[in-house]
Order: sequence, then C-alpha cells, then structure tokens
Amino acid sequence: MTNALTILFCLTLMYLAVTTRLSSYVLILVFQGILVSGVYTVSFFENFSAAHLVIAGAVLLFRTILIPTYIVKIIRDLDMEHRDQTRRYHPGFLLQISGVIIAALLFSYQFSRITPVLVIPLGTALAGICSGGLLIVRRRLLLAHVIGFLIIENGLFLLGVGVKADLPWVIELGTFLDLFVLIFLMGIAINHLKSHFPEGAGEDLTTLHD
Amino acid sequence: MMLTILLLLGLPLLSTVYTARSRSLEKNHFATLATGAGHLGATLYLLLTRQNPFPTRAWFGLDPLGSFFLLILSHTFFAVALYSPGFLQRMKKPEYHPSRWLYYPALNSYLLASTLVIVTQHFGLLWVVIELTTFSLVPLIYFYRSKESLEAVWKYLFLVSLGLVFLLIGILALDLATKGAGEHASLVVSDLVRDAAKLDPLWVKTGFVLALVGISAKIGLAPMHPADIDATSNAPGPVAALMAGSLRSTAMLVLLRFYEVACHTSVRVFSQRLLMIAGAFSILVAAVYIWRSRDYKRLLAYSSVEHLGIITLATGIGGVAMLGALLHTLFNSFGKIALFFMAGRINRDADASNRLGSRFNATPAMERVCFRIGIFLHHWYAPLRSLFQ
Repeated sequence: MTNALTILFCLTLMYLAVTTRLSSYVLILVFQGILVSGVYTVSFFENFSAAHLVIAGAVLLFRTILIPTYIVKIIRDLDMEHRDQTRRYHPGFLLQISGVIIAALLFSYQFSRITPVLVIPLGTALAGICSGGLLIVRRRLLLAHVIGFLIIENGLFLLGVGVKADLPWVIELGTFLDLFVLIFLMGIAINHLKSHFPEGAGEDLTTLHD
Repeated sequence: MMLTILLLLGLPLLSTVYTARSRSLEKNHFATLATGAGHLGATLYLLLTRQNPFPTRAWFGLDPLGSFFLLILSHTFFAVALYSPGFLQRMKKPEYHPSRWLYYPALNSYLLASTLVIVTQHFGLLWVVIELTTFSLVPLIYFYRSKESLEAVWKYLFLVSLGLVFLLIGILALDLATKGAGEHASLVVSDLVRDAAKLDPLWVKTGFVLALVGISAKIGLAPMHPADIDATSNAPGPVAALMAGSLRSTAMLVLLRFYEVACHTSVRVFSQRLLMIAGAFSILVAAVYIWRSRDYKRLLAYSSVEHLGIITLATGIGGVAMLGALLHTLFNSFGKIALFFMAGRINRDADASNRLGSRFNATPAMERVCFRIGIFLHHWYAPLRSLFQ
C-alpha cells in the first residue's frame, strides 16, 4: 500500500513537469498532501498511536487545507488565475523530472544495501526534493517558487517516513507550524512584491548586487 | 533556578505579548529594556555560577558553551534595546509607521527564539526554533518598506528556509546514525555524545556535511552568504547590529553542536578539514567582495563573512585555536554592534551621495574619528589578539 501511494506521488511529479498553470500546481499540492498523510498512516499502522493520529491529522489540515487555501487566496487577490506562467511548455522539463525519479529510485535501492530503509518511499522522497528544486529553477513566478518549496517539504516528510525516523510528535507538529508561518510570510511578501514588481517574476529581483 | 528560566524565556515571551498589544512606544521601550536587563542579569548569573537551570538530559539545557553564546546574545540585545528609542525617534516618515509598531514585538520575539536556539539540546526541536529566529527578523529587515528591503527580505526568507531544508535532512541523517545505538538513543546532544562509539560514522559524516551546508546560509558562510549580505545591508542599523552581533553567532552554535557530536566519533578529522575549507573559502570570498562594496553596511556585512570565516577556520584547527575562535566570536560581536550603529548614521546622514568617500566626508568629524577607530580595532586589533590567544 505504501509503495502504491508513493508511486502515485511520483506521478504527481510528472504532472508537475507538464503543467504550467498555478491552479494545477495547487491541485498537485492538495493531492500530494493526501498521499503523504496516507503514506504516514500506513507506515505506522502496526503500532499506530494517538500521537500518530495527531500528526496524520495535522498533515491533512496543513498540507491539504490551510496552505492550498491560502495559496488560492493569493492567486485570486493578485489576479493570477489564468496566466500561463512559463509562456510555453518545455518537454525537456518532463525528461529531467523522469530522469530524477529513475535516478532517485536507483540511488535508494543502492542505499538499502547499507542501511534498513524503505526503498520506494525513500526514492520518491529524494525525487520530490529534487523536483521541487527543479521547479524553482525552471519557473519564473515567485509563487511557483513557493510551490516548489512546498514540494520539497512534502519530499522531506516522505524522507522521514523512508528512513523510519520517529521524531517526537510535538516536534513534528512544530515543523508543520513553522511551514505554515513561513508560507504565510511568503504570501505577505508576494503581496507587497506585486506593487514593486508587477510581473512577480524571480528574474525581476536584481536590484541588490555588488 | 526557576527564576532564571523565567528571566531567560518567560520574560521575553511576556514582553513580546505586551509590546504587541501596547499602543505606547515609550512603554514598549521600557518593557524591552527591562527584558534585556533581566536576560543579561540571568545570563551573567548562570555564567558565573556555571549552573544549568534545566533538568539534566532533557530537551533543554545550558552547558558552558551555551552560556557563552547566551552572553553574546544578551549583551547584543541589551545594546540594541538601549539604542532603539533614538533610532525610532528619527524614523518619523509616515511609511515607517507600521514598522515602528512592529519593531519592539519583533525584537522581543527574536530574543525569545534565539534563547530557545541556545538552550535547546534536541536536534529536532533545534530545527523548529531556528526557523522562529528567521520569522522574527522578517518585519525588522523590512523596516524601510522600500523595493530593496522587500527584495532583501524575500531572498533572506527563501534562501535561509531552503538552507534549513538541508539542515533537516542532516538531522534525519543523524537519526539514521543512531539506529544501531540501542533503544535509549535519541537526538539529544548529551545522548549522542554518550552513544558516540555506537553511531554509524557514515551517517554522522553525511549529517555534518548537510548541516554545514544548511546552516551556512544563516551563519553567512560562503557560498551561501548572498541572502545574509542583502538582509544585513538593507536592514536598519540596530537590526543589522543584532544580526551581525548575535544571529550569526547563534547559528554558529548550531554548527558547533553538530561538531561536538562529530568530534566524539571517528569523523573528527573529516569534520575539522571541512570546517577549515569552509572558513578559508569564506575569507577568500569576503576579501574579493569587500573591495567592490559601495555601501558601508554592505562592507561591514562582508566583514562579518570574513570574521565568521576566521572563526570557522579556527574551530576546524581545534585545540588552542578553538579558544581563539570563541574569543573572536565575542570580539566580533562587540565590534559589529558599534560599527553597524555608526554605519547606519553615515548612510542616513548623506543619503544624497552614492560615493563611499563623499558619504563619509559628509558625516560629523567626531563620528568619522570614532568610525575609523572602530574599524581599526575591529579589523586589525581584535583578530590579532585572537591569534595571539
């Protein structure tokens, strides 16, 4: 079951490569939120406790409801709904993401020979982290960069599952809260940035240099 | 002991809430100053008595290294709290109005977050609280509400958070290292040091490399320094002093916690070499960029990169040089506070001119002399004294 959910996560990464619409990115985030919550629940199913239930609930609340809702609000407030953000579709990006997924899974397999890890979740996590980074590099809009960052965070959560890290639940909740505050602050910053940089693109931020 | 915990953590929390609710800048100033004084008093008491006010082997604890870094934080905060009313008095333009009201709550929440970083002994929790220091600085860096400060705050928020992703992966690697250490293994520093012999060296090594990369953005070590330079040079003088005087040192402590664990394992030599390379590279990068800077605050920000490079290099060398590194951290903090206060005045007094020399000449003679003495003491005397130590 864990493997099936993580493979679905990989498919969302492929979709990430072919779409350029912000609304699709938000849908990907919602779907990934549900998947990571599912992976977490299934992974700890045998010794499931109240703490695990709290974390799974928090993942659903933060990653599928609060953060996507807030991003949709920013998109609506700044009237960014129907804009094609990369101007045109690049097939090379799909090839890159596919390459990253294959490389991450192979790396994870090699990894499992020296340390007890879950091969597919770990490979997917690494692919998620790299794909989020690629999205930040390939997309122009600052909001797309925030979404790339959130995909990295989803990958990071899967990484915790993949390496069977069992951090105390208070700390896990703290990381979610941190993430939410971070996205909230980034949202405020994007709102302000729009008044100075109407395009809202990363390449506009070149005022500060030596 | 409970009183010291209250002074270190309770008072900044109370002051954050009070200053966020209060409508009087004067009252906010007194609350912040009282908090700073209380914090400094508690720190000095703990440093002199060498006591740990927290239960042993808990998530929170204060070792001698922590007490030393707490002193750096305390004195920097107290100096900034003393300087702040005069600074806010000058910032009377209508566009600064919201920033003036956010100033003291953000300052107090920074003190709380930084104190938590210093007293936290659990690596997982450490990651959570180090993010809080970034959040508390956002309204302070964005004080001037200009295009430049907005760009600086965005880059700082984004790049530091990306850096902290690496730090979290490093912590997960450390967690992997503890898998063979038995049931009682945890991510508490003292537990990791106790179980050092049982830790998997490969994961300790991986964790250390990732932690160094991740925390470099916060310390300001090259090549992760640009966001930190932009933020420091575009923040108001007292905020830049706070960042250069204490934030970088506090972030350095996080790296030292990883180093402490690595030193008790077989990866000691590896981690020392890595620190020496990172330190030497930062000195080199700072030396190149300092010549190109056309702004006093930017120049001083690069100077911080250089000084943190010296501290990292000395830490990597180890032995007596480690003592020099700690002393240099303290001197760097003292020097940077004074110089950023003065640099803020130079930039403010001669806004019309873009040239470095003209700005300086437009500043009152007494301030020019003080600045020159400060630069001499900071860039020549203090590093030499550390080297002799």
